[in-house]
Amino acid sequence: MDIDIIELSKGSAKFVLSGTNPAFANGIRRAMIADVPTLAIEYVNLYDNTSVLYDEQLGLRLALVPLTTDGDYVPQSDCDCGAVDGVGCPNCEVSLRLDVEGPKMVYSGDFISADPKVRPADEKIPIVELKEGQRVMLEAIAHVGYGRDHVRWQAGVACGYKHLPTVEVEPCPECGNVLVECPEHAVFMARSIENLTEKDELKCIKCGNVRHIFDLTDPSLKVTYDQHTFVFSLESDGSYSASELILKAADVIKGRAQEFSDILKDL
Amino acid sequence: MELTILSQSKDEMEILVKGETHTLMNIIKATLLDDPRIETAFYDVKRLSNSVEREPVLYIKTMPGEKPIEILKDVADKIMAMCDEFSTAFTKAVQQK
Repeated sequence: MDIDIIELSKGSAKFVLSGTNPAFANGIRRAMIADVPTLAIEYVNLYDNTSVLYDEQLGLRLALVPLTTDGDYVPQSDCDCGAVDGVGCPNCEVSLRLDVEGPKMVYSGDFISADPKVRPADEKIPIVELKEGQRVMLEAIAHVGYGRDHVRWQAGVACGYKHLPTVEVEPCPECGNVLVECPEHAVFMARSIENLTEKDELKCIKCGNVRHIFDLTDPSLKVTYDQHTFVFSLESDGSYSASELILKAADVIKGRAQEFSDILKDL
Repeated sequence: MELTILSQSKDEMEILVKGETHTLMNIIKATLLDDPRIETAFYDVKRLSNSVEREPVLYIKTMPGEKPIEILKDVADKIMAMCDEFSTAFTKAVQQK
C-alpha cells in the first residue's frame, strides 16, 4: 500500500492510494462519512427566544454548526455515567452558552463554551439576525455521535474517490496526426502529437464525453482505469483536520475488525 | 457487534453479523475472496424473519479440509494489518510532504 499526497490543508485533502482493493478504499470513504465520531449540539435549553426564528428552527441551525472535537469525549451509549434522557456527565457532554441581544447578527463565534478545546470550527457561521429588543438566551448541550445517525455528526463532507485513469494517445499511422479533444479541456487537447503538451491524468473527471465524439474502437485513444489505484478527495467539516480524519477512519475500521476478531475467538 | 452462527457444516458457514454495515462486511468479503483456502464467500444485508432491522449475513464455503472460522480469524488480522499499513503510509507521506 502506497500513499502519495497531492494536496493537504487543514480542511481538505487529495491523495493517491495505490496497491489496495476497492473494498478497502470504499471502507475508508464510508468510515470518514458515517463512522468517525464528532461532537454536535443535540439538546438546547431555551430560556429566551424573541428572534424571528421559532425554537425548533433555531435548534436545527445550532445543531448544524460543526464543533472542534477533542478525543477525550465518549459517546453517551459508551459512557460509564449511564446517561438517562440525554443528561450525561463531563465525559460525554459539553455545554455551550449563547446570550445575545439585538440589534446584532448572531454568529457561531458568539458561543461561550465550557471547554476551551470545544468551539465552533468556524467563527463566522450566521445563525440569526436580531433586531432592536430581540434576544436569544440558551444553553446548548453537545454530544458525541456518528454521521450514520444524523448529518450534524458527519465529519467528512464531499468524500469520494475515483480510479486513476490512464490516457494513451497514438498518432494515426497514415498521416501521423492526432485529433483528440478533451471536452473538459483538463486532460489534453491537441490536433497533432507535438502539441500534446498537457496530459494530467489526475484532472480527468471520467466524463466519458470523448466516447461520444470518438469511436472507442479508434486505436488513437485509449482510456483505462487502474482498479487498484484510487484518487481520493475529501473535505472535513472542521471537527478534525483532514489528516486526522483520514487516520481516524482507518482506526475505526481497525477497531471494528478487532471487535470482530475478539468475538470470533469466544465463539 | 453480535455474531450468531445460523448454519454450519464441515466446510460451510453462515454467520449473522448484527450491527455491522457494508463498511466492514465488504472488506471482509473481499479479503476472504483473496484467500486461496476459500471456494466462495459473499454477504447479503437482509431482513431476517421476526426482525424489522436489516442485518448482514456472511456466507463462506471453504476448500475441502479447511475450517471457515479459522480463516475468518486470519481475515480479521489481515484487515487490522491493512489499516495499520494505511496509517503508516499516510503518516509517512505527510512527513515527506
